[in-house]
Amino acid sequence: LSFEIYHQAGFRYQWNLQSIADDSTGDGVIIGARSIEKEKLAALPSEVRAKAIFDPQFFIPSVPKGKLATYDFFPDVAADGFTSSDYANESAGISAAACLAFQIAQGFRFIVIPTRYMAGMPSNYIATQDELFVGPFLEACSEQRVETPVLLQAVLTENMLKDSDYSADLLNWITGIRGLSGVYLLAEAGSTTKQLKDADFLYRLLTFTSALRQNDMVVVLGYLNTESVALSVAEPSIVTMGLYENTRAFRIRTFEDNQGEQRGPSPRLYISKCLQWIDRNYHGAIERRLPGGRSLFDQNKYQALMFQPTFKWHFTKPELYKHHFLELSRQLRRISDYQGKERYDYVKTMIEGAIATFTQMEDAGIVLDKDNDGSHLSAWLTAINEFAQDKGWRS
Amino acid sequence: MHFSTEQELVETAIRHLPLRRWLKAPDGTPVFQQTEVQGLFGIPDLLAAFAPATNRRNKPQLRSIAFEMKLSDWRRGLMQAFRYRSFASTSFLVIDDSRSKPAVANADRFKRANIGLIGLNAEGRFRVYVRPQREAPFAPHLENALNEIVKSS
Repeated sequence: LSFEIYHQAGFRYQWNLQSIADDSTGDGVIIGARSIEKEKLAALPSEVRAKAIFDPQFFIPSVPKGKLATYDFFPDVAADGFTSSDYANESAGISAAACLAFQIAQGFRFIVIPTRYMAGMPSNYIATQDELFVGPFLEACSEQRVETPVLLQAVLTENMLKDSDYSADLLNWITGIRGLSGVYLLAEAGSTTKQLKDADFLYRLLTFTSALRQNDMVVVLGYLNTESVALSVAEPSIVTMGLYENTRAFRIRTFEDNQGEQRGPSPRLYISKCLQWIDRNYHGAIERRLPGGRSLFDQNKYQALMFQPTFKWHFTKPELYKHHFLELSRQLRRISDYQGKERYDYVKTMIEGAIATFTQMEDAGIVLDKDNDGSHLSAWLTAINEFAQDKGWRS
Repeated sequence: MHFSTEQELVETAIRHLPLRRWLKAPDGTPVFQQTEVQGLFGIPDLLAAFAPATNRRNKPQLRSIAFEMKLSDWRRGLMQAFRYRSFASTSFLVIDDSRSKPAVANADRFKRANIGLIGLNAEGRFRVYVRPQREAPFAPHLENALNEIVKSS
């Protein structure tokens, strides 16, 4: 089963749209409400909207961060101040009907039922989602005779995924919702490393995704970084790639009211052979120390620009991200040509190749820090190997 | 006697390491020396630099040594010291000599990375286990930034 590539768009969403239009790096875009006013979203070209998925981002219903306040159906706006009980009794139905009508009017590819973020493994997770969103949305869908396929948005924490009973209950719940075509799944890892390095978390996510697919559900994996390569082994329907780090890992704190002082990251360049972004300040060491080091950097029109001596490297430069989209989408397209065991074998070879490249760098005396090295790759390999074993692809 | 804090290690290093000699700075010439230098790549615990008046091509060529100080965590220290090679021509990890065995056992990794390794004790006696070669910094833009820092000091 081949999969599609979507851009997880946030701040500077225009760069995502440009990359899709100019470089064919994606099949569509997931548009987060926080980053675009309602009116501006409605003014996007209809062909963009037709392939788009709307992310209502109700995660913290009491905090209309960024442009969320421009959406009259955002819970805090719709209820004029959000509290769970009042919202369920008075505003949930109105908000659901308005949010649904908006999504239909825009002609989006899917209808998304929003979700509220719940930390840990709360015993009332399913009941809360049902009461606040799922029930009211399904009722509104029935009233508005919706024909567009409907996705349930779900944010799963690390604890939820790692607890077998809890995740089984979630699977039962999701697959039992009538009229649902699939899930827009966001998984929040416990650690905040730039790359996902938790093999068990990744394995659980692979297993959860695969179980949903076996139930003929569409699975959209949102907020992914490079681990989309590893997750592709579970044969999701859509994988995502994002621009800034807050679209490449789901972290609830980025939706909180006060995140504290934020420091801009160092500019990092995606290197496809490494399946890693590497800080610009290490590039000279790679070029000088690694035999043929220059050839490690993917050659494309953005790389050519960035490697001009006059280029001013900064994390806000679009070339960094357009380069990433171009190279990662090439890799993902190649992966999507394979299925099942062949895909696993191909991805395994890619990861092993990246590990070998990092070993060469180490042998050449290049000492990278934990945000730039290959320490994520062994975790990815463990996760896909374990998953392949379950599938009988590996003895 | 071993060090209780990294701060003690830094203070002892400043008092006892022959920075001027290592920088080949003639007596009486100004040597830049600063702790916790910001705005580069990582924050070196100590940075020393000397700018000879000119070289043959009339370009100032900074001689710089960056130091990372660690009580025992040599792996992290090596990684941090390597970062400093992006702007400094030489970089060392200085480690409490009473806990230096694991680092010394991995001297090959320091040699391969061309990062120096020094064991320092609380009395100020030090031993250079790995002496690195001076080499142009890896990142010219950071080398320029260091030049500016030194110039404006």
